[in-house]
Amino acid sequence: MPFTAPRDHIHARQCRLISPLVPWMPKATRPPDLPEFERPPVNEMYLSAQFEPLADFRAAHQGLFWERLRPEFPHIEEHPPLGHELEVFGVRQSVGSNIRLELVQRPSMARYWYIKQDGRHLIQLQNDRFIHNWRKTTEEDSYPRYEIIIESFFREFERLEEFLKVEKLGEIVVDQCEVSYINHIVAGAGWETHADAPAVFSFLRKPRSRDPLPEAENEQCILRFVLRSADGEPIGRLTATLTPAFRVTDERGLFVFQLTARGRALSEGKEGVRRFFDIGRAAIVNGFAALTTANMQKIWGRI
Amino acid sequence: MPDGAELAQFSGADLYFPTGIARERVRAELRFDAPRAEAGIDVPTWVATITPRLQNLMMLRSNWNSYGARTIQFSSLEAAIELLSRIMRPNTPPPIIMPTSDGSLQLEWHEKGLDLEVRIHGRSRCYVSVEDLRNPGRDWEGTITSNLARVKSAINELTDRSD
Amino acid sequence: MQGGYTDDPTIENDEVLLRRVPHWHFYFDKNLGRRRPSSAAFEDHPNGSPMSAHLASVLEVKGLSVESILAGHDGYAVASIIAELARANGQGICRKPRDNDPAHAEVFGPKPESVRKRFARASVWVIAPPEIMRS
Repeated sequence: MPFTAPRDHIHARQCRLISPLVPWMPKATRPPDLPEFERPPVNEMYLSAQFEPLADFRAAHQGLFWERLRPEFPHIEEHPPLGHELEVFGVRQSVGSNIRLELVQRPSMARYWYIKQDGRHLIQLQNDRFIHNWRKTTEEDSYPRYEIIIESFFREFERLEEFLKVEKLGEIVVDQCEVSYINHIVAGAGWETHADAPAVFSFLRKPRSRDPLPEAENEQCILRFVLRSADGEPIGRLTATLTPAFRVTDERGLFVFQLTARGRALSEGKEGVRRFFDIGRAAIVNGFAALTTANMQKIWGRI
Repeated sequence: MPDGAELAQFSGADLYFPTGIARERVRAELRFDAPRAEAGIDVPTWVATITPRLQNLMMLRSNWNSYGARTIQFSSLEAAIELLSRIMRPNTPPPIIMPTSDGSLQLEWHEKGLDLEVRIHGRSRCYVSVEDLRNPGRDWEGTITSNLARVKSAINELTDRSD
Repeated sequence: MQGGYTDDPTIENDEVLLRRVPHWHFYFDKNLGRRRPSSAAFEDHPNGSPMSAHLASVLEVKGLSVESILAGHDGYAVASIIAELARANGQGICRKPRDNDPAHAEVFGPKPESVRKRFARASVWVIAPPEIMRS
């Protein structure tokens, strides 16, 4: 997962995203009508495939897999595992009671990060998740574009599939796909303080002179939109999370604006995963354009 | 009941991890988190009813049906509890939980004129069959993945229907 | 039908096919007002080979009782379906005698939920479940 992950939310609204889904195209080509930006404020993005847990996958296998990656991914880190999450529809979302079964006293099944020498690309692996991240490490880094990252994802994913086949650890059955963009919108271009959030985000209201309250010091919120197939069936969710923050290096104000599309693979195998990634990415880019102001989009060089 | 309460402990034929010397049994816990917005919410009755059955199912050894059946996979247990947590209401009749020969579980209700069977196929898929003996035209069956609306509707019907 | 199996025409349509049912698989059906097996009791072997059954006519010829198929299986019941029902639901039946089970047969063919439910509903107890059932 990203190294920044907003947790607090004080406002949630569910809407239906009524927009035609971009037709799926083979391999990585940019849909012609998708909004494009010369300088998007992307700080990190990732593609994730969650699958049925591999019952016999152990920590030792993580090390064996790393041996295959090590020439390109020489650094390794250990992190706590992520939960197995599924987007569901037609029932209440985790706001009621939760009954769950947990293993205790079990051997640690950590999530490992395999990191490239440049620190920008990394793979995360646990017994039920494979994630490919790109992240900025310096201000000069520019986002390499989705078409490049998705090919890299599948290249490494196929290496994992081959490894599992050789070690007889079972086959991957993907049950959820996720694509996410984490944007860092830094103060000084188009806005100055967190109270200026309505100048950045089109879904926020500017304060009016007759309002009984002063302008908000800052805003935090989550918006959720259901993604649907052409025949109206829900296939996933787009979640937009807004969190005010300050940049550690110079304490400049920052909005962390994360957009995540999460849902099931749209058909069997890797092609179904790719199809969801493409649709999710389109929903994210369209969502980003819809939820930010025209002035900020000019600053980001909308083409 | 306080938040995050442990309701039961499980151990079973499937819950072993290999160590250097021998297979080591591990323990699982069934936990209940009450909704934050509602104080005084107790553990639903159906949870207490099914817990002993689940514990016994986890202890099944292979060939438990004399025809080569496999032990119940822990992931099937997790999937069943997750699904029930999403679709059940506090006063929904508890399901009858059947083990299947491939190591999975089948949740069944046969009462109030409804025959409802839900076969677990992993964390994200189940096969549902609904027969309404009082309204035969409303029978349906099919695979459910992320959209639980139809199975939720069947559970609501079961819960609200009179005997 | 499952590959490599052929329906045996010498098995008559009125042949009684017997199936052992563990206590896990019988329950009280409130709709029917009686105990019956679950559809889960009529599955193929998890390795893909067909559902085992026992031919009542063979037991009779060999002078064996129905109870003989329960040897070593305490707490089990025995349910039966008719060969005609199996064939009407896309199944074939072939003899597969074993050293310790001369009446053994296999019921082959796809067994979706609908077929297994029909078997469970139509089945008749030959040896009824014990009165006390564990949870």
